Amino acid sequence: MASLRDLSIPRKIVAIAMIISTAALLLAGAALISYDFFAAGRDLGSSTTVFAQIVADNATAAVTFNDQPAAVDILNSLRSEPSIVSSCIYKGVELFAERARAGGRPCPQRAVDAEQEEPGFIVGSSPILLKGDQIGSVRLLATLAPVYARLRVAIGVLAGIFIVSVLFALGLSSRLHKVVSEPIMNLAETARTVSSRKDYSLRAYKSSEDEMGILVDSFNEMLEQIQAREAELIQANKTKDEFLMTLSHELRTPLTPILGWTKLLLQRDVDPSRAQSAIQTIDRSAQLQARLIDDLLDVARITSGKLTMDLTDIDLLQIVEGAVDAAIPAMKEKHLALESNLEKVPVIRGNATRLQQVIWNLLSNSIKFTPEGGLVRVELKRVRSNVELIVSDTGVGIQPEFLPFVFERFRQADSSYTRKHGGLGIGLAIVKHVVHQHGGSVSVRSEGENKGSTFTLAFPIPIKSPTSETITSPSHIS
Amino acid sequence: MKHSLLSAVSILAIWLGSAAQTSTVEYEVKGAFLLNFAKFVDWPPQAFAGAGDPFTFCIAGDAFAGALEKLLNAETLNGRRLVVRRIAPADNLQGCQIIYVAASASGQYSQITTLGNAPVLTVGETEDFIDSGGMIRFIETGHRIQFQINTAAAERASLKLSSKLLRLAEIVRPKEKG
Repeated sequence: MASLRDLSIPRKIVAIAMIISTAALLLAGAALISYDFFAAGRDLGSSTTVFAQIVADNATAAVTFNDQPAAVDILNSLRSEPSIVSSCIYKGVELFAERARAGGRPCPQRAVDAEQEEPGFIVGSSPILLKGDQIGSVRLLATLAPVYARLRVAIGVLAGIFIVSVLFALGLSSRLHKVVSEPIMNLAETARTVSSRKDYSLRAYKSSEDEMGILVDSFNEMLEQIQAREAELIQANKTKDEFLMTLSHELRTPLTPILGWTKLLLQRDVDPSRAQSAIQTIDRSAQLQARLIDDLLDVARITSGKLTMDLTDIDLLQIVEGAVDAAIPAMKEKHLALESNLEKVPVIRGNATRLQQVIWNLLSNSIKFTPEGGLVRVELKRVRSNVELIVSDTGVGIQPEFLPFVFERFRQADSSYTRKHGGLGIGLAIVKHVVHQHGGSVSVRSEGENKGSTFTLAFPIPIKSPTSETITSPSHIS
Repeated sequence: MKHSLLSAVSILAIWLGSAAQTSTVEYEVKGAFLLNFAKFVDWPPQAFAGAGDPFTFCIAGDAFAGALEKLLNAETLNGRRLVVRRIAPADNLQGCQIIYVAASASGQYSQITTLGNAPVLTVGETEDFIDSGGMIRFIETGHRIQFQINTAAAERASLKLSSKLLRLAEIVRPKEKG
């Protein structure tokens, strides 16, 4: 027989239930039967003694007047009591009358001690008294056979109950199999299918609200997470592939004019003015590529957490003016109008170089995505405890569904190879990171495609400390 | 001692049948029975004149021949001594609790009727004893001595006979004189 440990759960439950119920049945049965047995023996003992007393009382005259037939009559009156198998009346110590039935013992010829026991029988005895004097005695033997018969019946009933309970337990086992094992097997089967097919959209079937149900729920929840994680992984892979393609393209683009003009310069008899123009173009393209690579390095630093910056007290107006001035040639080239509305703002803590980069990124973004004849607006003002820089344009705008991803690196609304606009999709990611490093926030707004977009940067105005007051000009305090 | 007496009586009773009719042996058995009757009958208090009075067996006729005295001397009954009194036809029967009328004294039966309802147990042995108003009569059946009881007469005399005694007896009624 298999050990309890290796049995299936329903069989375990049934086995435990059976062990307990069998033990209970045996204990209760043994207790009841032994009580019944001893009680029956005791009752038989006392009733036999009572019979002996009755016989002794009735036989007084018969013994006194030496009337043996009368004594035998008295003994015959016991015939309706089947348990009494031998009955003896003694006159003095001599046997006076006796009656024995099948299974009984013949009476001893002389009276024996009243206390003397007879194996297999219950002894009941009584003296025969006449006016307080003992003139004889009565000794009755009762058989224990009916008690034993009752014992056998009780054991039979107990065995019957045991068999019924075993059958019941077996019935219960198959029922438990449905309730306990099947859900577990179903769950195991689902887990196996999931791992063999790698199909994380499968779900285990929940059939109950118990611990099993909780397990199924947890399992399904886990599958859901794995499924989401896998979707993310696929998306990340796709983004990376697209980025690689974009990157190659972006790095290749400046090389084309560099290679073309270099070839021209390598020829003899190059017109000096053409050569001059060629060198300028090569320089511009090389710088474009250098900036591209710088941006990439920045992103790499952001990712590894190495892009840190020293903050000093700065005048944002100065920096914005510088950045706008630098962007004017590019805007002119694209015939874009500039609307600049810059107020004097309080000094903030910041890194001038990085903030210049941020503003340049925003402006070049606007220039890139605004068609010819459009408008680029730059605004700098104080709003409550913040200094806000707003760069807006009348360009292509941003589709609402892409808005949440605008500041994520490598994300571009149009990532197809045949897209109209270049770039790696890392400029705004750098903007966000730098502004966050300043303790500020970035936000974007767009009414939709071709409706332009508005980027808002907010920098907190530091609470003045005595040391900073000495550097800050009084006019900046408001 | 009691056992030996009883067993002696029983041996005598058994022997009675087989042995030749010896009146001595017969009367020894009857004497023992007489004593035992006293044990199975309750007398009312008025049967005795005083608390210290003995229990008196009055014998009419030539029965027992001294054996009864020997038997009773060793016994007491309810704290009373047991005495035997021989009575002649004209004697006063005052003080008798049991009167035994032997066959030889059957002429004295008229005395019994003079007792009226006095609490005296009357025992006899002739055939007409019950008809003459007696209460208990010895009879011989085969080898055994048994007795008849006239319960009506005992009841009239306010004597309570034990049911155990009645069970052994043959219950009889006196024949109506007519």
